[in-house]
Amino acid sequence: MNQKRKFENKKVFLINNAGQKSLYIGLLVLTFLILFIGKADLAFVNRVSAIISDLSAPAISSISKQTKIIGNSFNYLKNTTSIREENKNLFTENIRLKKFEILSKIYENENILLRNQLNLIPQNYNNFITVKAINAPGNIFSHSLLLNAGRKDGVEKGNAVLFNGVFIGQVVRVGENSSRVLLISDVNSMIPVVVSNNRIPSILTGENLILPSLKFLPNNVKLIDGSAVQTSGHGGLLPSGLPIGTVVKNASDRYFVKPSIDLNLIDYVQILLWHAEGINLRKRNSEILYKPVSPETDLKLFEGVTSRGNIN
Amino acid sequence: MLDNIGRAFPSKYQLIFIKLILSILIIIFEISLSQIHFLYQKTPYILYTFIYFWFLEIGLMSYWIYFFIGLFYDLIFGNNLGLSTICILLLVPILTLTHPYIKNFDYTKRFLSFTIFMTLLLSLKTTVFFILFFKMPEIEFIIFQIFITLIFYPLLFLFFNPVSKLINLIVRV
Repeated sequence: MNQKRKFENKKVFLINNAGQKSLYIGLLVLTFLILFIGKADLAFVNRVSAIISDLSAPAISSISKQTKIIGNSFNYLKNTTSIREENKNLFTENIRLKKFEILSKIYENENILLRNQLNLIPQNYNNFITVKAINAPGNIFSHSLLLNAGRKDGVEKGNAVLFNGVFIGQVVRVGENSSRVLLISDVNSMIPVVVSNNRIPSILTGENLILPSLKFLPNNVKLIDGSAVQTSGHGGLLPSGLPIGTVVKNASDRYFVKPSIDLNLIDYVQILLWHAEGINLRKRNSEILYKPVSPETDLKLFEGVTSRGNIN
Repeated sequence: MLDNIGRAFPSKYQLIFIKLILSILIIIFEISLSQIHFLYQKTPYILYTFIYFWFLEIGLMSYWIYFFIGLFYDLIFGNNLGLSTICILLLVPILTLTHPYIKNFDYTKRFLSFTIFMTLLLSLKTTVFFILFFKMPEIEFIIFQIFITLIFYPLLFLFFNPVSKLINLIVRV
């Protein structure tokens, strides 16, 4: 019987076989094409991916529940063994936090006073949904999450995703019942941010490392360790002021951002169903968004003063 | 019932079907392991262990099966489409060439060859990732993942053993 199977294997699957050889080369070329087409973020690839996510989401969700139970029991055991040390740490942390509580109350009152003086219109994000993350990133090559909510629940591509009020990523693919979130640490993620202390604009770039980095900072800028980083809202796809984390400087003078929450604790996340003023991706209509330029030849699209001082 | 299935479909297609279904289930199980905090971003590579097991215990399969398994793996894990596929496809000919030798190895040598297989696969994956993005992922995580896969290797082989028995049954029918 084994001999028979060996024979079958040799007969059908040997690389020397001409048919298999051409199939292999064809598949290799096709995979290279897919690799580059996938990077181009084509609608067709996104649709296929969304369909497969939709189909596999129930199975992943049900198996994840069981593994989560196993994981929680491991954590329980771990916590039980270190309960004494944990208690000691919590005691010191509690004293420290009490001090911050008093300080935060002072700042809060001051903030309310200043807001009233400025007549500031508060920015509230009431329209959000809370959904379960059915898986966490499985390997270091991709930092993304699968959520068990999709188009049916009002989720749209580009929605901001928060965990305990901290911005963690953006929805990149939406299926009917599931959606994929690209975390801020993923290599494909680029988020416009500001460093709060002095409103320095920057781009938060994922590098598939533990911490995302700050890029495109203005020249010769020095950031203070621990400065808060939040979304800037530039580009209009994300709301401004969503907290992300704090600045960390490494030995080679590069700036990274340490998220305010532990990303491996993510379970339930909030999706902000937010649109910038005038932009509604649901009612997308190319004719409304992109009006053709008027054929009038003397029409000036931009008007202003040139570098030489002439009005153009 | 097995007899009827055996008559309807040749054993080759049955094997392909079993491999595809098992691979999909293993991928789903592998991604669900990331829910354990300890294994966040470092789940053991069960699918690659399964591919190696199939190659050792059952034999090699047609290339398009590896192609589809790789694509499904990338889609579920949210990887760049084709990243795992290209690495598996590039390694399969090496497995084909070494198949007659590894088949006769004892347990220790098989384990060593699996270690080499995993190291090669992950090195390839990291290289392709670097070519695509000009960035290196966290190397410690990759080493940890290889290490944890090697720890799980004997246990996984034990769990995959009934698959080998099922295949034997199908081939006999």
